Amino acid sequence: MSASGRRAVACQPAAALLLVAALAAQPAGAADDPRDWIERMVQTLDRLNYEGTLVHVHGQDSSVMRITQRVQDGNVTEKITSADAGREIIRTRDEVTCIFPDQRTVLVEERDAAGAPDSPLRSHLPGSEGLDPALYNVAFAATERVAGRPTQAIAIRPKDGFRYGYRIWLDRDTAMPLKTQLVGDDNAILEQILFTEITLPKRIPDSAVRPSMSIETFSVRRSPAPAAGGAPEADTGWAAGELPAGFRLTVRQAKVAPDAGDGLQHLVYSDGLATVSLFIEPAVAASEQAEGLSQIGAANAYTTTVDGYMVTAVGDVPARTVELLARSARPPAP
Amino acid sequence: MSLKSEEQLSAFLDGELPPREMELLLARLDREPGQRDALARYAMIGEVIRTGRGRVEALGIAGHVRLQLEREAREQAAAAAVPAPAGRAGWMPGAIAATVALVAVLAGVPYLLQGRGGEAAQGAAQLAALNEEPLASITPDTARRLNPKAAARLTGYLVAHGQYANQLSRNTFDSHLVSARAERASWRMPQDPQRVR
Repeated sequence: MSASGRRAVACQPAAALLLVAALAAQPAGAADDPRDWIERMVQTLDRLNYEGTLVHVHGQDSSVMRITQRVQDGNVTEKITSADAGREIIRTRDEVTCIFPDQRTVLVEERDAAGAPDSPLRSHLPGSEGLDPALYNVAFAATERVAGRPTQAIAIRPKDGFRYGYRIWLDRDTAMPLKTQLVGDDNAILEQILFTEITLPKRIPDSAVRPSMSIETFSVRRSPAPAAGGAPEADTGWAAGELPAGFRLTVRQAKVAPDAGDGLQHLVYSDGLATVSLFIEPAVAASEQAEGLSQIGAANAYTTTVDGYMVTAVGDVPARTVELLARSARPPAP
Repeated sequence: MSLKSEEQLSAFLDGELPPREMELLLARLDREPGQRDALARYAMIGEVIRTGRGRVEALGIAGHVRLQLEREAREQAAAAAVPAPAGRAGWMPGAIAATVALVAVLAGVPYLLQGRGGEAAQGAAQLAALNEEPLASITPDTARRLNPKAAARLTGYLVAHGQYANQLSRNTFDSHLVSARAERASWRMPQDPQRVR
């Protein structure tokens, strides 16, 4: 991570404390500015225990997940289980574990705890200060009941075509996001995710956030924590040459993905809400790389080759954005 | 809840509900606790079947579900690489899209990929092999799938990227990653990239 990037992260807890203090003085539902509601959502995600059923709708497809979040001693643990496959993702402060029982495989991605945000959930949600008015309009939207609870709806609309918009339905009592729509051009709903039921237990046992199955006999593929948390030596000088308005480099680190060869660089660019990762590693056989645009859901990836290196931009952004970053990536000057 | 409603929920979980009906169903889920309870119950059925814990008998459908899964597993094993027939498994929510992986594991049939042996069934190729599996729910579109190694690499990138994505986006990433349905769990390359830029 660059020095500026680390400073930006380090400043978040202090700002968050101020916001907590300010928000604590407000009764639930008193916020009359949509940005205040977003602040409340960010705080909620860092403090609430919850368990619920999430439905994800994408095009004509849908899936159901169980989600559990436990906050204990300031540490947040999240577990997501697919109802149709039994696959699980468990996030703690130290690592992300993806369990694929159908393939008897476990992926473990260690996190740089020292440089990681306080919570894996609120990690990169914007506070109101993160939503640049020059980039996004934020407004109230039509409300409705979600999971049987009254909500306050917020619409976040981008001002250009380099990022997606969101519509978020927040629980009026807790500001918990109960329903979210990812919105593309022409207000098209790209993906939708909502709780069909949710509970807010005071206590969640350890067993609820542990793997649901024995994984002792599974093949484990572990990706070590990033080298020195993005220390300066990880800076090889690669960078995106062109960025959409508002995007800036927030993280720079080395070797983060399973199966990556030596020398993988991971750069993260963010505008405060949308993020794009740029991965750079020595080029592989053409048959093993996806030259051009690829998609999974509303996430896009664009791969190209630059000076013998494979450069891939991945993000929850429109195709034109990943293409711009990947194609403009440049190695350090000789 | 009526049989029609059950079938509608089942179709929803199987990803076979037309978009217009899906919107109506989602609205009804918001209004009707009974529908929400049913959906939660169906999700629980999947968990009970998968983990072997809980009391699926209490739901009164365990035998039907298991019989159906075993029948499908036998058919799947016999068919090997032949694409499974399209269409959902009747009313049964426990089938939940009747994915090859789930069916095979539940019925005690070794996962089909493991029989292909060697290194190809390990690591990245194993992870990405879903992209090659013929599944019942594959629907033709204008995109083509990536080869397994390229897809595995992008999936690794997506997991790493997920640490830095905002949670609203990450929930959808997670959904794609944990889904066993091939068309959801695989990367695709649009035939006409200009249309999606």
